[in-house]
Amino acid sequence: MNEAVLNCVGSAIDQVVPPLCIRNLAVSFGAKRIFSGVDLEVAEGEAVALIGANGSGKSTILRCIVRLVEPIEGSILIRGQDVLSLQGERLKVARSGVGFVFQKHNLVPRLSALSNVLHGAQARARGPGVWFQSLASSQMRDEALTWLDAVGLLPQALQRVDSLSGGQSQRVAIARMLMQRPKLVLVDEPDASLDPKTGREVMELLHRLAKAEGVPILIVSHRLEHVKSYSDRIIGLAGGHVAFNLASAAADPALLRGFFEDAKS
Amino acid sequence: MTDASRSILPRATIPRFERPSAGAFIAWVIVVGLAVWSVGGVGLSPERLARGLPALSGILNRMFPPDLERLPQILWSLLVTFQMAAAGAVLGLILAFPLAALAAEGVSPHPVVRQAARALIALFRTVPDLVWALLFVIAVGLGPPAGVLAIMVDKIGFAGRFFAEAMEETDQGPREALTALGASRLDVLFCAIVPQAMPSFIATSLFSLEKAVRGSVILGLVGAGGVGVELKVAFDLFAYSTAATIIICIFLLVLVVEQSSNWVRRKLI
Repeated sequence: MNEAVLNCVGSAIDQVVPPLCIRNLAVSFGAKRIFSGVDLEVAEGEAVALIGANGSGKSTILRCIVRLVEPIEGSILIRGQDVLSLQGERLKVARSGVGFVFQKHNLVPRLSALSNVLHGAQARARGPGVWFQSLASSQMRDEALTWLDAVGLLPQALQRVDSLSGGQSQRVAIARMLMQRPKLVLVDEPDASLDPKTGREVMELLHRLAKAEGVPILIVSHRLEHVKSYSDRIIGLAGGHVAFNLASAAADPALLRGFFEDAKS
Repeated sequence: MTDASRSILPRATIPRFERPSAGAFIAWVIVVGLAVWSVGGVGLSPERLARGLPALSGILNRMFPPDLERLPQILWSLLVTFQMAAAGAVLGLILAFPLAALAAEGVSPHPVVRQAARALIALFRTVPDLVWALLFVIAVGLGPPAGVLAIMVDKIGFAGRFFAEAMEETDQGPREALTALGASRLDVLFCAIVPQAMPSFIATSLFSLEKAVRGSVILGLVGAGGVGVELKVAFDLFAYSTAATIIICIFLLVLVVEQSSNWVRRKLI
């Protein structure tokens, strides 16, 4: 067991390696330090909310986990594997186990909802069979349709995603993430561009599906009611560091509200 | 708006035109000077144009009515011209796609590869198709194959540049999403980039075909086959009425291709 793993599980050999363990993470954009010394863990089946002001680095942490952003310091372990040391095919394999739901959905416009969901299978298959629904095998197609059904969009399967509403697009993005069969899910403000009702429905759906699949989830959100309702633990980022790390049940709503208000100011 | 707020607006002081900066003024002087110098340099003058009008009028008189005696041969050559254009454009577009992918920032696997692909596209684009035709006539001999190759190379340069730009301009979001889930570079290219760039690809391809049809006529003048050869022979033999038939046929072909292209563009984009 290497040093980074020991930092996460302690010295006892029988301790369980968490699905996600971040230690001493630091990111700079040019001369600007975004955050440093960030420690964070997500346990098996746990939903963790990450909160903080705009620019505090919440989304950047999620992007570091899949190496869309390269940190300058620290370690990120996914089930004991240091993703920062991976390159090429091994990095792709590590990424394939991490589902990512983006704030702006990041679907491919001009393609159907079904083709977009099918793209989730690129984590485990290659080639034209996972590019467009018309070229997919019956098995892949059926699985993609199953996930579209799970998010309530089976009737829109062949509709172009650029003709869907914001809430429907986010559901397609969730179905694509589920098609990936992830072992860890990262969610970056899925409710930010949606009206309160649709935002709540999307969060409810994500929470329900993640719990049903037993997948740990790390959520970034600016909505206090969602943070409280759909997470087991809340981590607050402020001033480039972790300001608090509390069980959601124990988190004082007044403290959180104050934190959100500070974050907005 | 209150009277008080109206009165503080300095309307009289808002100029209709902005005074150009010293740099802009110098740039304008250079541009105008360059135009005057160039027109003078090539010896184009109103007197010369006036002197040429009777000769032009004489040629036009001898062109009409057009001579239809060689119409079947002309139509056959026109068909060969269209085939040259279509074959050259399609081959050029097919080869332009991978070269554009290698030249596009964020798609190319390595900066050195990107620079090499860009240099090749620039070479293909900057050398005129007539020069390529001369080279291919020497390489493969007189006739349509030289024309097809010249059009192909020209279209690789033309479409390669626009394909690469279209790929670079696609939204980063879908590309990031697929990269984050472990997709390969090829998966990202075909799933996230190509669908987004498709309207631009279609527009560029149709424009390439139009350009190839217009260009293929000229290529015949240097022996690269098609109706251009007929046109050169007609002028060489002072058979202006036959030349008029050829020019009218070329005009109709270009018109049909452009109108068809516009229709396809409207339907697909």
